[in-house]
Amino acid sequence: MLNGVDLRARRSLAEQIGEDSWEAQLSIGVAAQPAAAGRCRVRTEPMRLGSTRVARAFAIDQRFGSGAADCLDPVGSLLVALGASVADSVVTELSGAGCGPALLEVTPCAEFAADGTGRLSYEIRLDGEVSAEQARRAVDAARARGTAHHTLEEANDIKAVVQTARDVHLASPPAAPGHADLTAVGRRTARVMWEIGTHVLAEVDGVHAESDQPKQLFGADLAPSAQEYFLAALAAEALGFAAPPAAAPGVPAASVHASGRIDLRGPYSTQDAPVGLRNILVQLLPADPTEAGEAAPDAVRRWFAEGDALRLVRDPHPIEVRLVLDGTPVPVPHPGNDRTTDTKEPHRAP
Amino acid sequence: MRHFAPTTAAATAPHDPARRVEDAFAALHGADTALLVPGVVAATTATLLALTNPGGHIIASDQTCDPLRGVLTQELAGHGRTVTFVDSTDADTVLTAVRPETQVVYTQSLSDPLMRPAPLNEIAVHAQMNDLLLVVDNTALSPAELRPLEAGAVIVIEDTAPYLDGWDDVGAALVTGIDRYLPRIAEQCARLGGEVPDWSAHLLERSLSTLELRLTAQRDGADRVAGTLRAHPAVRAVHRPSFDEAPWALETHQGFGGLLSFEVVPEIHDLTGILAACDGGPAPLGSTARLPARTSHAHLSERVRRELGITRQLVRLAVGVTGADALSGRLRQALDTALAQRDGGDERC
Repeated sequence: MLNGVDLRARRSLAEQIGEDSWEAQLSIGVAAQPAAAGRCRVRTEPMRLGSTRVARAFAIDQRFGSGAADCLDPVGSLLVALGASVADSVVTELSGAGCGPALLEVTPCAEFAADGTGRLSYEIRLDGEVSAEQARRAVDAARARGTAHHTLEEANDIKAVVQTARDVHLASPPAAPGHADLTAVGRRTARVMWEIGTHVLAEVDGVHAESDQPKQLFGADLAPSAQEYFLAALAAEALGFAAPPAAAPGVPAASVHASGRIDLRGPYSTQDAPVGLRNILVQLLPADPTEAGEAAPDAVRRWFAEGDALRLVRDPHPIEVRLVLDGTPVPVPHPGNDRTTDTKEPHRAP
Repeated sequence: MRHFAPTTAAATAPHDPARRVEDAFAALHGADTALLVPGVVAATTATLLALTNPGGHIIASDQTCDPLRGVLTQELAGHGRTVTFVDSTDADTVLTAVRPETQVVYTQSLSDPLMRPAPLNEIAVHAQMNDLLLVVDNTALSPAELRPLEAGAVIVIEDTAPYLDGWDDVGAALVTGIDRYLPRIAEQCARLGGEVPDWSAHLLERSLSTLELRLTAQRDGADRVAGTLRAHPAVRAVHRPSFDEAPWALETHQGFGGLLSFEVVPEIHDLTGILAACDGGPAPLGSTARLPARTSHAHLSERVRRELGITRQLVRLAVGVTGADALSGRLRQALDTALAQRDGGDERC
């Protein structure tokens, strides 16, 4: 084991899921409920990993809107997810090459134009006994096998269900690919520092967070996974549009459940399988499910139109990657054939 | 604990006695790898910790007794796991205990001392349908009688006493199962510490080679002793499973091992003579007996013991490899004597 990365166990998983695709399916879910005014608490739910369960009880406090005081906002959560996922891919690749980096820091950045469109980038800083070529390969690994990188880079159909007396099904198709030359009016960054294995410490606008994978995926069960941060961002943002500004104590409050699925053959094996988070579904349970009005569906439609985190996940974004090795920028070739367009399964009619 | 390195049972015999025992035990269960662990409580604790996450839930057999029961209720709670105890001889009861965060079902294949077989086939189906892992303590049957992996379990744990180590020289346990789970269990065992000495592993290896022969003799002996006890008026109940009572076991079991328990009528308070009759003497591989209410279940209150069916008149008997007919004779005589003295003094044992 090097850098807390159990390469043998990873190879064993890759072999196993290569033989049995059912065992490669990881279903993840989170549930958000309002807490104090303007914020909510997102709880992770047991995952389904093939024919087993992964049960971890973590809570992520989220602010509904942008800006951050003492807990993450939805865009901040996405940045943490991106940084954690990239760090995991990079350190796994470096460990496979026998490198032990003294420092690995990922700095994801999201910029927004006035019309709400966004642009994503991240910088990878590496110090230690790593050659430029090894570092470039690690960057390639993050691009090729990073779940968060792919989820944000590719277009995603996000579906929503409003669970009232008569369920309302809504879909939010992705917009056209964003332009790299947008004029940014807003900018958010995070600093994600690799600790050991899949464990990272993150900081977004002064708010600290941690991410780790379950031990079934070679982590140490120390914190929510990158994918759970992803879903937490969506659940919290949706709840922010649907929940009243401050629910009175004792009054039933709306709640949001967000779920998604990963085919582990994408990030963990060399098989040509989708890498990103898929089948993203957001379910809104209004405060009064018996009410058949349009208020709750309208709230979801507003979220589809205005949600920053949702647009980052839903719409395709070319992601710029920079590499800094021992304090010196290292040119990273633009991916010529990087799986960003050919790994998604064809869309099927419902 | 040694570092775990997967091997196959078919590979060339290694020099390390512990590895040879692991390979032999894995082969007995039809598995590829196994782990030799210093103690069944450590083995079970490590297994349950390895297969669950903080926040996970375990369904465990209510026949689990101390010290493991204490570990499940106290130590595992400290690690963020919750445990629900259920009657695992009823698969539907196991199913009703499943929660969203449930990860593992843990049961003995045959409960001790009440000798109730768990319907592993049925529990395994429920476990698979709910994405749960079935962990089986097969100590009371051994691979000579039952191979739980074939019934759908993913991990099997066995104490070396009373069967794997017929001479009772070694205090250890073995864990085997599906390959993908064993490295995690090995890592957890390493955190708990401890190692089985090479000499103990060597003794265990020699004993394993005679397991099937010994179990055949013990199974037949236990059946004959059970027959004797059932026919005696001083015996209220004999706890010894049979294929007539559990016909589903025909698919999975070779037999029910050499353990049985029986309850004498409540009027008999002095069990000293009966215990003495069960004692096979200092010779190895002999029969042994104990009173669960005074030994394995002594830590429980009378009320809890009664709820579990552990009466003061319950005798747990491990029938030895030889001398079953002589044991039957001694028991018959002791029971006759006890019956004759039924109006006599207080319980003394």
